[in-house]
Amino acid sequence: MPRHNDLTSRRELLKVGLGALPVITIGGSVPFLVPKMAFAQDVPATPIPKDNILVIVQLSGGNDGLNTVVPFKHDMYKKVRPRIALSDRLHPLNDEYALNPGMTAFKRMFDEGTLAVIHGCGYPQPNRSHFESMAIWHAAQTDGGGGSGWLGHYLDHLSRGTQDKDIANNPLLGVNIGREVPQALVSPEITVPSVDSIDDFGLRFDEGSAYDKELERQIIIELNKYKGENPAMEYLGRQATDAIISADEIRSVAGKYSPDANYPGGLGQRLRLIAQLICGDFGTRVFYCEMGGYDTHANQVQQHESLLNQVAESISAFYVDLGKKNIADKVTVMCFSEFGRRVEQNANDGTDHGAAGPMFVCGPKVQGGVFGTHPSMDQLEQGDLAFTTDFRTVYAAMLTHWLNADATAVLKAQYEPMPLFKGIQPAEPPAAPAEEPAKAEEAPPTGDGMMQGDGMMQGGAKMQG
Amino acid sequence: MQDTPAPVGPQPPENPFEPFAPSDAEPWNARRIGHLLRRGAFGANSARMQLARERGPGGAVDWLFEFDPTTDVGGLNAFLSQASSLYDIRQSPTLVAQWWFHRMTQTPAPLQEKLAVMWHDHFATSAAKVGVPTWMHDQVELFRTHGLGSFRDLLIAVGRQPAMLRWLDGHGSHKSKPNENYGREILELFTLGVGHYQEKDIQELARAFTGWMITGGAVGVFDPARWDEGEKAVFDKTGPFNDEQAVDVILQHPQAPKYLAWRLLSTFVHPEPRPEHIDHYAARLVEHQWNIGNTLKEILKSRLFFSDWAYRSMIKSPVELCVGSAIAIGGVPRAEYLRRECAAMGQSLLYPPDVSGWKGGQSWINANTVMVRFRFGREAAGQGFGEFAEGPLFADLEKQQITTSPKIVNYFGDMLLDGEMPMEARGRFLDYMNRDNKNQPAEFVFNGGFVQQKVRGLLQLMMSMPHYQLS
Repeated sequence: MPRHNDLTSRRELLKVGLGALPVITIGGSVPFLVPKMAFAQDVPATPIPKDNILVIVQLSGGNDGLNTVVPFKHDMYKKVRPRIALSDRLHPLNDEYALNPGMTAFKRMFDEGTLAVIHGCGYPQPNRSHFESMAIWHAAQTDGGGGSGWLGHYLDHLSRGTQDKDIANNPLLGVNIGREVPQALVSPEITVPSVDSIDDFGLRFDEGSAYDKELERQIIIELNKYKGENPAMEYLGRQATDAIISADEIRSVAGKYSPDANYPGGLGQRLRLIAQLICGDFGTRVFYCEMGGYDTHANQVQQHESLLNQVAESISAFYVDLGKKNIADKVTVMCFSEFGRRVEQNANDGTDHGAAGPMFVCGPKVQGGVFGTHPSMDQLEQGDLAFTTDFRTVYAAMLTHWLNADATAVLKAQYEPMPLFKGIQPAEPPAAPAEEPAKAEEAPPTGDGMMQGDGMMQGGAKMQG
Repeated sequence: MQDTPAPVGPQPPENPFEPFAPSDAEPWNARRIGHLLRRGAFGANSARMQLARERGPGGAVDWLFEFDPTTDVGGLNAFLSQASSLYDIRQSPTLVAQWWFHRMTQTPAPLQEKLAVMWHDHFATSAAKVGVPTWMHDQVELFRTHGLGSFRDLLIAVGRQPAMLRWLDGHGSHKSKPNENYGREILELFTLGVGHYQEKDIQELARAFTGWMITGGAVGVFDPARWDEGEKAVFDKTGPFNDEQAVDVILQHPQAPKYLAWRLLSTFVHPEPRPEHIDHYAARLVEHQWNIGNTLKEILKSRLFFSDWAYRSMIKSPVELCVGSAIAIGGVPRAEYLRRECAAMGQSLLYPPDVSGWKGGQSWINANTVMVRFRFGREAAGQGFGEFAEGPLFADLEKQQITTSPKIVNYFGDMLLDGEMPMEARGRFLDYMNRDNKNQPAEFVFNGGFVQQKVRGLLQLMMSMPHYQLS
């Protein structure tokens, strides 16, 4: 293989080092840290900037959608949730729906027009297992995929479908914040690094023996240079040396960051780390982070409010921080959960696993408003809300209108992207839904909005608020 | 696979299947003792090395097998029932995993746990789907009681437990619509490997495995009314097979003993066993009527096992690295700490990534996991294990009069690196020990907190060598 420049030869070196494994090594000898603006102008003009960043916030455990986007006027809501229905301190989005009292910051973003609230997100034949439903959301396939995920496929397409070596060779196109890579970021061709904290990403020494630190560091680097006692050792030494050097690079670049906002809680710290990495300008397109605690089977009201408060406040702080640094325009955040919860409360003042729930998408370039149709409260499927928005129409919007990718290729099926970004026209409303005998038989005709919503699945969504 | 020629390592020995006998050229030393203790017992410590040295290679292998899996080994299950607030295995799979880590570091029968980990990887059942923590615990317990016995018995028993019935959807499989998942994986992953069966065999096997239900007990219940009692044609055999008979049919396939021999050899000897090694031990398995322990004992005593070819040929799994370090350092480490570190290194116990288990080998290592492994070295050598500060290591050093820097370097070099380190490394370690806290040369004196700092620093350095990442 011809060698074009240092980066290419380094890439080859990595390939050799990794054998058949995908390239995983973080960092590199700086070339890919060249500011992205430097080559953005080389490519034909496209309305979508080449360096847009998508941040996924996963709410794990099954977020209770009805107490997140509250149908506060609906009698059924109060009736089936006698002890947990919310009515005070709500933040109205329109005449029918309001945000949870904890989401003051989201209300502010909504009023600014930078928050999209999407009703009734889900998929056919809902699975109520955390693991399996999460796999469906990660894979964007209702069979849970084969262990790989939609963002992994996207990164794979991105790196293989470009002539631009700075993109193709960038090992940090996707970064997971945390310790274990989520399925969404898995692809057979690309491996995404997980970063817990920048401080931990590098050699560390017992603080008690700090005076030996430099000496110990030198020795460790030296020890890992021993060559060739056997293939496994050779491989290990090379990986280790590489990792030590690149971690130093990441740390030195990211060390220039200082936050311009107060980030609350664990999710806040993860978003702060993302802001730090964005400021390092590593060319990352997708960041992934997670917040747990949503499996609210008991005494949920206060706990749930405080979770949602953390989501809203952290994301708001994230945008304040990025805004002060003039890079907020580059970033969109998408929040989802693996399912919503049962409409009826349980005996423990909590809720059990359910089906459809809301998603949030926010950022300066997002078209604020309420999207989709709220699932019918009267026509439930096995006690759960029936989905009205296929979540993959939201993914398709992220891919098509934000990341400039071929959504059909990535998602392996065609979904009409929901018009979630400013300047994107809503698709033509689909023709009145044709008779869908199977569905119609299951649900007695009611004239309620649900069946109309059903027809929206593939046809995008209409604006409501 | 690789673009550059890999360094040529050692080759398999002459007369590989004969028992290893020490000689002047191949002495019974720290290198071979360390090798055996790592592969068979997660790792060495002072007491284990002493025992192995005294017993010799054959006796040391025998020691690994000196426990009765039908009893409460080491009183650990009794301990569990008392420590239920600490390890309430009904609460979550995390606690089941914590308990397992506790066992691995405290058991007097480490081979039992080593085998259990191998079977966990082999049957690759994940708590993510199984859900019920006690079902996962029951499966691991089965690996402990049956892990060294008859593979036939193990295979039948594992298929009847709720964990597997749930994991591969055997639960509720009915003659009107047999679920093929278990039929497929038992061939592909548990007994033969791909390419040795037809889709038709899977479908016929699926019929044989119908009728099993999870009803709340520790073992599934067979409902004859749901079972397909008709004739099934699997490979070249035909009969009205039930699950037990189906297992017998599978195990008569000539590939079956080879597959199991490969599993044993690739776990205990070398990541890529040669066909002649597989064939030999496959024949031994059949000879031993599928007894795993008897076959494994022969493997561990062989010249093949103790050969340079096998030595440091594998990359330690996260569990091997963490548990082995804990055993060397001693005390009772915090189980959750070990569990979490292993997960961060890519091995979340009870959560194998998919039905085929962990990929292992080089896939354990990337920039991220290397950093976690180094960090673990720091934490394990430092404050990570609470007991270490006042713990057995320093007492041992004093008791055994290991108080000069060369003695200390040799002592830990034997324990952690089998005494097998490059001369330069040994020089570096000595130089490190003989410097004061301003990095100036100074005579090492064994007293006070400075010793602790230096010894901890030395442990971290040794654990940061690529050699230490190898098994």
